[in-house]
Amino acid sequence: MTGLGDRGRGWTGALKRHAAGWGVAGWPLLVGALITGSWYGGIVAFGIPEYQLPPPHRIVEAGLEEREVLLTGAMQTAQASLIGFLISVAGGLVLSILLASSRWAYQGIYPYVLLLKMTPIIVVAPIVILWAGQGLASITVITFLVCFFPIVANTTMGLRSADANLLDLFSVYKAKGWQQLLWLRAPGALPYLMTGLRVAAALTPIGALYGDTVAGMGSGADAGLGFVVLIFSAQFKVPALFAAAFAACVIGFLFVGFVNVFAWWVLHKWHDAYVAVD
Amino acid sequence: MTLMWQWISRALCFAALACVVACGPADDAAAPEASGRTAVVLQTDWYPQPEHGGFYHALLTGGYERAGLDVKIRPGANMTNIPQLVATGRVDFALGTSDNLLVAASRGIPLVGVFPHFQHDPQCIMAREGAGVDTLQSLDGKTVMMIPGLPYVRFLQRSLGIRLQLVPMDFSLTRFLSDPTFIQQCFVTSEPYYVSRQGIEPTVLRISDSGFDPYRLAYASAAFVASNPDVVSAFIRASRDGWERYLGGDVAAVHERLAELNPQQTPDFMAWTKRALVDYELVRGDAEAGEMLGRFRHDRLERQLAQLEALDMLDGPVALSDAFAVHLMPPELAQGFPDPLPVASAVETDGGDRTR
Repeated sequence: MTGLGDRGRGWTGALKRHAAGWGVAGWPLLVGALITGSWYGGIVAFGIPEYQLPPPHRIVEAGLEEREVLLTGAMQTAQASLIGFLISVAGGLVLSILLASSRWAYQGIYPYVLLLKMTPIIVVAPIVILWAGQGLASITVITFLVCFFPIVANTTMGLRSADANLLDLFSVYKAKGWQQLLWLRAPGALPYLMTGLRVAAALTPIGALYGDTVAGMGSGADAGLGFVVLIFSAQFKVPALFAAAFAACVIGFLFVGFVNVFAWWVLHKWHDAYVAVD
Repeated sequence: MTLMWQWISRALCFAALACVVACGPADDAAAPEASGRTAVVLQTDWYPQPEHGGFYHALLTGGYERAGLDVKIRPGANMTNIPQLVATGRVDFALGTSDNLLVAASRGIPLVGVFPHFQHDPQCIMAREGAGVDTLQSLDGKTVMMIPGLPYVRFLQRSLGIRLQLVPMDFSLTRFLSDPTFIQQCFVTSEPYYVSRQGIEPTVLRISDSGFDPYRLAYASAAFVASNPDVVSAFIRASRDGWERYLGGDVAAVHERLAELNPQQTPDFMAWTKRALVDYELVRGDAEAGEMLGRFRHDRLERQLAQLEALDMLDGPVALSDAFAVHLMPPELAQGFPDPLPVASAVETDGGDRTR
């Protein structure tokens, strides 16, 4: 990140602000242009056919051509992502508090949380479908399974890492368990929670897209993005496949971006990482 | 943080790009081995099974060897990108269907059908008794597990005016066995056997009854066919001979090997499948209708092309004479095609030799 915090005066300040603006927009644009250039260059130089690597303008064309299918697909996937994400957050928080509340709960339950995490989703998915049936319910459960662990792991870690001196202080003042949790452990765990949320947010669309490809349902035009990918793939629509990949990217960026804004809103008033920047 | 994500994703995109560029098309001209035979790979569409029996026959009883070919049969289940593997020269021959071949050709994936091992498509829909399905028409509004996006899925819905709720194919029978109302796609030669051994008698509806009836075939890339006409011609003749003998009853060596390669294939299962191949005339077709083992009929292909066109599944025009290696087939196997084209024109259509 460039030094946004350095607000100098006069012409040096103006220059620095200018440079900062360039850092935010200029560099990505320049690299984007380089990538696009070598993309076209590679296609021409190596004679790469469209079914292997379509040129960018064909991807844009295909994206426009299939915009309805892509848009409904993206909306469906975003919906499944959102539900799965929110359930993971809620479930993750409850479980983390339980895990942090007592030593036996942590030692007894955490290995099974790990077990759930270690079982690959590809193995679990067919079982989920058997139980929850085809459709949104299963996709949500799959999304939940993919993104709930980072939240639990990080939040539990946060709740358990309160400063020992402060814990002593709380017990000296005879604070009750819930008071200790609410006023000491929870605030201290917030940055950890935010890290968990960020990781989970990036994983969420992956879970939802994978859920689509195994538990999705539709008649073609009303299915999630993962299902749409299956259709494009079966029909050898390679430029449309790339367009679908970008649509999935957009969902991921929206999720991560939203979580970042949320994290800033929660933490910027007091947390060092944010306070220092301003 | 967001910026970092952007950078990471860009870097990944770039890495992927570099990969694609680095693994460009492979050598098209098949290289003769020290033995004097030409090594080629046949990529199938499933685990080893009697539906590939003729190819295994030619492999195991020396048919390919005598034809100067050193064939390696590579099984491939649940792979969607086989046409791309063929087009880029990573495998020489693959098994597929004529409708998908035509769709691919219309999208600029230059593939050429060389040998139809099935005159008729064994693709079916099978339903449990609780599904209340007895005709293709009665599938209207039902949830069916099948590969979304395939031409016949669209054809069924358009031609019969029905609407299906599709569920992606997971290539297993778990849900069919556990849910008494389940419906899924199947091969008439395969899944019904397995299901009936579990005490379930499924309703089996053949998709070809809807009028959509592609060939199942071996295909190669246009570049490979153009630069290796002798190899393709030898492959056609040896494969045809293998299928002829396999259907004729010489199954022992093939079934023994298939059972080794794929333990699911019990002798009883294979005998059942083999019988289904014969009973449904899938391989030989209906002789009275002018069908024959290994034959492409121009009128049938034209009809398939028109059906795909009507389904909006073609991106561009497809010339049947370019999409099928009729000039390399024994004449009786190419029926109704316009006079054989000079070989040179087929070479030019794909820019000739792409070897680097």
